[in-house]
Amino acid sequence: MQLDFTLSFTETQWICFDDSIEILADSLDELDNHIERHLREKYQKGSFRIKMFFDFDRFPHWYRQYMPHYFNRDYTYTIK
Amino acid sequence: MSNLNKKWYSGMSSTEDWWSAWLGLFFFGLGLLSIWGLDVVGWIAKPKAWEFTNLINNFSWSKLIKTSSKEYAHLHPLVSILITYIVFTGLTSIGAYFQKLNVKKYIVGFTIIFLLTWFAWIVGYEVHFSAIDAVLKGKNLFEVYDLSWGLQLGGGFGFMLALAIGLIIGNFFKGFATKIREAAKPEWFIKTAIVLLGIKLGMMTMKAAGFTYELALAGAAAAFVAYLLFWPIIYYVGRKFFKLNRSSAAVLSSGISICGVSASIATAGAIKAKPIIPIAVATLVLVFAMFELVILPGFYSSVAPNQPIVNGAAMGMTVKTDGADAAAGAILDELMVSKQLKTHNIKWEEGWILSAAILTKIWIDIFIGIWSFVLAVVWIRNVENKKQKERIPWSEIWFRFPKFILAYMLVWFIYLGMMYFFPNILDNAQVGGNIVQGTFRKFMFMLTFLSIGIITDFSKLKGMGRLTLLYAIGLFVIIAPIAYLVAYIFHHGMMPPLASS
Repeated sequence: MQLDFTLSFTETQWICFDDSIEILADSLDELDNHIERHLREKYQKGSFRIKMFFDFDRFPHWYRQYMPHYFNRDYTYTIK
Repeated sequence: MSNLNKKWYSGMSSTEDWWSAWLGLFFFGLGLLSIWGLDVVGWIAKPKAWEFTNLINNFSWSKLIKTSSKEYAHLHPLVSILITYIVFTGLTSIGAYFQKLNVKKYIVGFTIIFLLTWFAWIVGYEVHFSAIDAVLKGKNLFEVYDLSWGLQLGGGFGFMLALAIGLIIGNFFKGFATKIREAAKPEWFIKTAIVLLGIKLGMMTMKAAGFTYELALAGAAAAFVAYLLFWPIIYYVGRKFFKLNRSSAAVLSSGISICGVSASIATAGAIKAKPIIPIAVATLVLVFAMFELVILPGFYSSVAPNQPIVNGAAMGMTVKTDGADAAAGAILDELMVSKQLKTHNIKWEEGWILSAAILTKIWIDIFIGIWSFVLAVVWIRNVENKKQKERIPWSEIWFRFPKFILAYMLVWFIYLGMMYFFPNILDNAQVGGNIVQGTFRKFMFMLTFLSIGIITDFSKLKGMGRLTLLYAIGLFVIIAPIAYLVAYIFHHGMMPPLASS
């Protein structure tokens, strides 16, 4: 199953969200752990392809002219 | 509303990078219509050489401004300026709309920037600042106007004046700067100008194909070598002596050693650093780029007046951000061409020194995506310790690839295509091409100079202590000397062709 999330940040925290869930965390590791917990609770088991697309609109406008991309993530997670 | 890079075509209508390509290609296309005898670009206004007392004694706008082609010579100079204003404001406002800028603020800001730019450009053509004491196109302006003194800076004075006006606004009239900042987009303006420079490169290839290819290849080799030297040295110094953490050291290394803000964002993204890190580095890059832009052209042209191409290439490797590099290259070009003419009565063709600076920088820009990809892989395998299998999408290279370079290359290749397959249309193509790569491009450069000054705020360095120190040491003690050495190794002996008299 593929799950697409939008990734963003506040001054101190990463935010990951889709239409049904929003997760905040201090680090990407912590964010991944939250997602893992969420998947375990919701699906119990299965293989998941997680895609995160960084929302570049969160950068200040003056800054965007130098580079229009931060990063996207793509990883697989399996719950047995 | 989000701005996500999901598909290969994401951002085509919303990023300034793509808009540089669209705008540049549009102007290029307009210029090409001269193949069929249509001059739809000659209306653009350009400044004329003028002398102060002569103007005061008998004022006339036609002494200051003229149209770019004789087809439109019947237009009053102010009408020509008005058309120029309407076309540039209209087209860039469409771009601003799609980039989600505040269009109303943009138009107000652009109008002010347009007027200030023209003021600086016209003043820069006053003969006491611009005229060279040598025969050029059959006349010596020093003798024509009976000048007793002159700075002999060519077009360089206008560039410097625009920069000075921008800096004064950005640092002493900050409220005003904030109001017009929506339209101060140096990267957009300069990237559009670089696309237009593709025409110049095409024309240069027609004139000296071997030398142009050699220049492009030498730029690639020099940029590649510079990458391999700069980054590890700065990273090591940052970690060892300044005790920076891995993320900060990596982002700062890219900022100082590769291509400033864009490289620091790309690197921070590759290693998934918190966005606050590249934003802090960006501030340093922008302020230091201004020091480089002000210091290096005069320094290089004084210390090594006989190494024009080496100086240009070194500039491309040393000055960070495309805007500051192209601006510094343009000043260097003006200063060195003027100096050579003044001291040796030899007229180098304009644009080659600038092209050396741009070509080196373009290779650096191209490598950013690849470098970030490699760094991302290294980081995931050797630094992060993740339990899940994360893959780096190949699309990351594409999303970080500067798209304006595609347009620059396309323009160059179209000229090469004409040169090899349709040589009979070249003369007509150059009629429009010369205006677009001449006046259009120089106007975009002037907008860049003013804008880059407006967005540079020196007070932002406050509180950045050791990062500032590392940046200063890295740039002036490590990068600048090595860049010059690498530029010398790959470019020494190259000289710009002589201009046809």
